[in-house]
Amino acid sequence: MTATIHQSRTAREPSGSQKSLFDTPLIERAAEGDRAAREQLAAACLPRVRRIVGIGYGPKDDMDDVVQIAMVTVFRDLSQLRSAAGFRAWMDTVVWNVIRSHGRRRSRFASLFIPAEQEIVEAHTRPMEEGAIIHRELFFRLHRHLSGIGEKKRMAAVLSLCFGYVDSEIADLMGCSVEAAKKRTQHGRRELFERLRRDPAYVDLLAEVMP
Amino acid sequence: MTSGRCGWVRDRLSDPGAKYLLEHEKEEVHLHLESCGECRAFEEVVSRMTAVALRLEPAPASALEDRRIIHAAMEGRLPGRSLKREFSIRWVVAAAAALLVGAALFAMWPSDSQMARPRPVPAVAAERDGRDDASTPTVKSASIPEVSTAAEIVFDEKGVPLTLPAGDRIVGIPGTRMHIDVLTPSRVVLRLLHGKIVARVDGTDRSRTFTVMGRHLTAEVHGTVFSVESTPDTPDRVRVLEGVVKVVDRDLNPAGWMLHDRQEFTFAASSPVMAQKADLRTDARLAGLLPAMTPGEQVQPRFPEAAEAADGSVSPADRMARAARELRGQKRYGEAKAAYEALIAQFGSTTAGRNALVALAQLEFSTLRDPTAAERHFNAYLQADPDGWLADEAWIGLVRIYAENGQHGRVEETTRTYLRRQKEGTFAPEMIRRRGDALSAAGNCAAAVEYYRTVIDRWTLSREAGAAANGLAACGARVD
Repeated sequence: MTATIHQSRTAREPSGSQKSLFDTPLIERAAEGDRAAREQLAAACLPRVRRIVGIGYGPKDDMDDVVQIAMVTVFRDLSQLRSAAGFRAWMDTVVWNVIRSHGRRRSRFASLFIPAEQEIVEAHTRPMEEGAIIHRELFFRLHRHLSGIGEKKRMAAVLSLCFGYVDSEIADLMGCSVEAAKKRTQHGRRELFERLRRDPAYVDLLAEVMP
Repeated sequence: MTSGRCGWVRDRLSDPGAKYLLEHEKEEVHLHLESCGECRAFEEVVSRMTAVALRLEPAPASALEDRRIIHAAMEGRLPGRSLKREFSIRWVVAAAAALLVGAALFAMWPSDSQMARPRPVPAVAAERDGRDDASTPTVKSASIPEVSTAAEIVFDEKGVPLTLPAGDRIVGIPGTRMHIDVLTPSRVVLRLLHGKIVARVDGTDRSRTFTVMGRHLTAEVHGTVFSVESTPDTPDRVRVLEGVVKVVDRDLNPAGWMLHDRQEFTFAASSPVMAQKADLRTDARLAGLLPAMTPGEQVQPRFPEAAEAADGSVSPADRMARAARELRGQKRYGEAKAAYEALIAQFGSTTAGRNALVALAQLEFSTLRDPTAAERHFNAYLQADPDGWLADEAWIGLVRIYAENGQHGRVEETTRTYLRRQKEGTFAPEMIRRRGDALSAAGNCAAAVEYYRTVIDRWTLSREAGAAANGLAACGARVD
């Protein structure tokens, strides 16, 4: 498994300074409890955690809470990391587990204060360039369509489509066989594309972004 | 309508591994796409979406929010609103402990004749009942000058309010038992053992904390009139007659829920219920017995030295903070500023030092007209203690500065960050209204109207509703 994951992961390595922030020595020092290293690593991890939560959990009112829980969990359990080389995959797994467990709890305990949808949208959006507006609209609509798909298929589709994972990695993250991961990915993606195709506004937005 | 072949083709198109299709399969897909418009549309979505998806990002958060999350990750601090995994485990442990304690108490419980319950005493001059052990003297209800920490109060006579040294007034229904856990000029903690109290708290000094603990809930008060009820047969209940109360459940929601005028909060067996419009008739009758507290009134502690000595915990930082407050009260603003700066320089890492940042910033902004320094100090407080007691004050201070400077973009960003965390915070109405102002100034009247209407609908009788109505009128919208 490690060879496959490592090989495919190189394609998604972040570029520039972020790459150096994920250096093995930094992760090792952070795992040993070096405060400065932990802070540096946290700053490097946060954009990725935010992206995973943003896409996997969605732009809900408590998205920042989930990001915070995920970050706390990652750095609380960092000492359990077996190999610094597998940090990114390990971190992604932790974040996805947090998303799944928080999503279940959220459905059990209805929030006392559920803001109007407009408020949520406004709370997670930025003003006001044309490109940014289209991008934001794409993001929200994607999430709305994703939320209509079953949890496992949704997760597999997102991992494949938005994060470029291959089947064996998805299987590893979801704790299932590669065959099951492949089926979930295929069905999840197909379901998502069918939904997107039936959303004319989304098709127009896509055409604007990718003429 | 899709044929069976369409399903086969779309499966292939959806598969990320489709590039490995055999030649004759690729040919078959190609031929089908030429003849089927719907599958062509599907393929367009697939190809565009596949290209776009890897670049999709949620909206970036502010640098301050990122800093707060990193700080929380380093400290291992979970967000207040999260329902932690430990929640259920803690309840099991707590239930087991309660069972054990209950069994032990049952075995040791004295007979009725031996029971030494606090005996209600007629309300006259203050006196202590020395019958109980020395640490928990029972005091009757009345205005009691020497009431102090570790006293237990029994309200035996409806209508006789208790006045605490700092001027807070409390009245209870007959039979209410209450314990004073902490009583210092800056902090009051009461434990409601049984019954119901209505309290009027002086909120002029925002650094004071006034807390009432029920069986499940803790009410932290921000200068207000409110009632707390806690009896074994009924759920804990908090009602707000005026002002704002933060209700905290240590397990379920350590960050707390903010209650405003006429709101009621009931908590029983981990099921919080919030009523927007409480029936306040009974509480209002009780509150009517409390003398009104005029704005700015500050009853001097009658025994500050005694309180200090008994407490023994008044630190040099607290003393400096008090001195700075006094200077400010005497309108010696320059000296007050110097006192705050000295406090920050010496004790910047303590709570008093951090609170001084906000006090100094407010002084600089509202009195000394130095918004740049005020902004720096508000930001310093939020960096040092993003979840601190005065965080709300710092946020609203920043927004007011930006609004006064006409920095509408920053108003919008700051209000968004605040409202993301605190949708029911103390300053939520003003934040929402100011967000409307910023949007209106940016020419986005349609969105601004939504915010104005939210303020008017939810806080109809507040001052902010009036300001929001003005904003609505400026946008050309109809004010109902």
